[in-house]
Amino acid sequence: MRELLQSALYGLGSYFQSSHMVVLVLGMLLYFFAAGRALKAREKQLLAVTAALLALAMFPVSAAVLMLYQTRFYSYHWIWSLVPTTLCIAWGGTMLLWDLTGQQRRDGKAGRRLAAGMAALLALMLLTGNLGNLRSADKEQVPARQVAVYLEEEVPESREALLWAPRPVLEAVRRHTGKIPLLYGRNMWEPEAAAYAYDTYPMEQQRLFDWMETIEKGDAYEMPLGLKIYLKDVAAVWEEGQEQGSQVSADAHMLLLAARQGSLLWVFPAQATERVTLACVQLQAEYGLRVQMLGEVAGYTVWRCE
Amino acid sequence: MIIFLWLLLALVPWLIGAAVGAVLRWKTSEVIHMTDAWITGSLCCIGLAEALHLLGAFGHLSLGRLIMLWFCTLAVLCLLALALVAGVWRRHRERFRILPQKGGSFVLPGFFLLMVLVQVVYVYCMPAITAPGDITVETLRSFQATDGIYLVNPLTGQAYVQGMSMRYKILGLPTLYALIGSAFPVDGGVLVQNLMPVVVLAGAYMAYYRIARLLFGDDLRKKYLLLTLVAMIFWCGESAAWLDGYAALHSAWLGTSIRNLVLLPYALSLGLERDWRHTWPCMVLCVMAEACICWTFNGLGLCLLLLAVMAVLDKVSRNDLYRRLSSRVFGREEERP
Repeated sequence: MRELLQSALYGLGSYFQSSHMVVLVLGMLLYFFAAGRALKAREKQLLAVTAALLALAMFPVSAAVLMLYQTRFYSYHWIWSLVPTTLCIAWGGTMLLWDLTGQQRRDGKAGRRLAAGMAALLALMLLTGNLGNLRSADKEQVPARQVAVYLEEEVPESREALLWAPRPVLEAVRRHTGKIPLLYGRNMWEPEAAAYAYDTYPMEQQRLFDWMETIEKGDAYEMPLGLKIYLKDVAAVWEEGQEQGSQVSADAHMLLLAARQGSLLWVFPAQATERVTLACVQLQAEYGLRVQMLGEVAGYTVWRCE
Repeated sequence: MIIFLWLLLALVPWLIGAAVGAVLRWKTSEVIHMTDAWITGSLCCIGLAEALHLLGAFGHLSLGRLIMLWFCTLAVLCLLALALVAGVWRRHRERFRILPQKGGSFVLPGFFLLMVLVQVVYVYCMPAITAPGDITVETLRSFQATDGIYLVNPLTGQAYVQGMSMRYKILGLPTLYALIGSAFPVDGGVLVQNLMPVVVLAGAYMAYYRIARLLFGDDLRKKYLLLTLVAMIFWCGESAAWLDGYAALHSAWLGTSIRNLVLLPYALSLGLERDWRHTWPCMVLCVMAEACICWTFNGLGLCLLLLAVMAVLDKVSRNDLYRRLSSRVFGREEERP
């Protein structure tokens, strides 16, 4: 409960940051309550409901109760769904525009006045709203989607062997087809997506994910601590600051680990081809596993382990 | 085929909803509005999809069988609805209002329609995005690939080890999309992220039109002005996932978006009617539809809470003490009818 209260206390500011249109709602409520304007019963009811729900969402205790009611699955901001902000602004705006632009006067200029009023209201909405979320596909999703198409059409093994690949490819593959199984999915790195199932990943798969991240992001990316500890202490194949041979052994070990986890189809970024090739040579020499490159597509290489 | 799909998405819910409306108002001669009928019919379709989803998830029926059941049931419902609507139509033609009443200028309706058209083009033509936590497309693909409901984890394609949340498992929205998409050559991603948002957007404007009708009666200009402002708010407030603008333009296929854009305004409009004896079946439909598409507190979602708050306020406002207090504070007591 304390957590919920804190969330409700600090969430209000965060919600206000995302949209200032609450100010318009408060303005409408104040105007219609204070102006003493005669309203229809339904209009009064709408105002009363908006005010009551606004109060419930704003006060921390009632907000915390509402968060409990919405199962804690949703964050604080979602309780604002209950407040009819859009309707209140639209209804209040209609009434205000009607009165302020004198729509009852039949002087032939009512249309122009209404247009001017609407422009002013639009400016207010632009000021209080929050634009800039224009929808566009991620740039990295385009090559990843090409890989997904390639795997589905050109690699028949992809329907049986578990696929191990960088994040964008895994995301694109499952969005493109349901026929290619993955070693791990989006719930590995996205907590929101992990909420739908009780399944968790074994430590080995988490280390494989870490290793793929280092391969994808290159030398500039610092190796995660969990992976360092695993390679140094658990697998004993890597020493920090040692020569290249140590890294090749570590890479070969990770490839072996992937094969042992059931993943025999791999996708790596093309810039890591040399590193992967060295690891594959060692994999064959030490463990007898043969790895073959199937092709290259959109900046990624596809490998099959036999 | 796409045009046929659009036609069915418009006609089937309307037909079922019109029949439900005719049955509910059998003894009265009230007008059955197109918007009300379409929303009610859509809620019935959600209910049907949910029943089939439960059959698939717990009765282990394959998706192929569910599709057959879906089309058979829909065909039977449509035939029954057609007979009923035709019967009522012959006796009381004036009860079905397909288009808004005549009168008023074309400027405001035209401007509103232009704004909606731009939004529809935007939603329909924009590339698909990955919304955080949204696994609808993956779920739809996994249903189609395995010919079953939740046979594998949608995110990996592997069987569940420890299982999934029961509260999530009973949500039938992905099955509804799978059933709609199964008979038409539409890519699952396009269906979910481009086609269904247009339908939800249309549903949202229908719900707001219903409220406008209740608030402004026959004043067409005010009604279209309200709708135009709603469209403007959608454009201006689209920065975060919990805002109506984001729901309408970026993620209208999600259960929470359908709830915020269609169900809550519809529930509010039912509450504003203050005719609980006649509107309760639609309220129940609304609450149940939310339970079928959103993760709620054991089925008690926001629609129920909203209706409860409205009922309490309604009771309070009829109280004499409140009336006297209100007249003291605001200095007025009379209400315009």
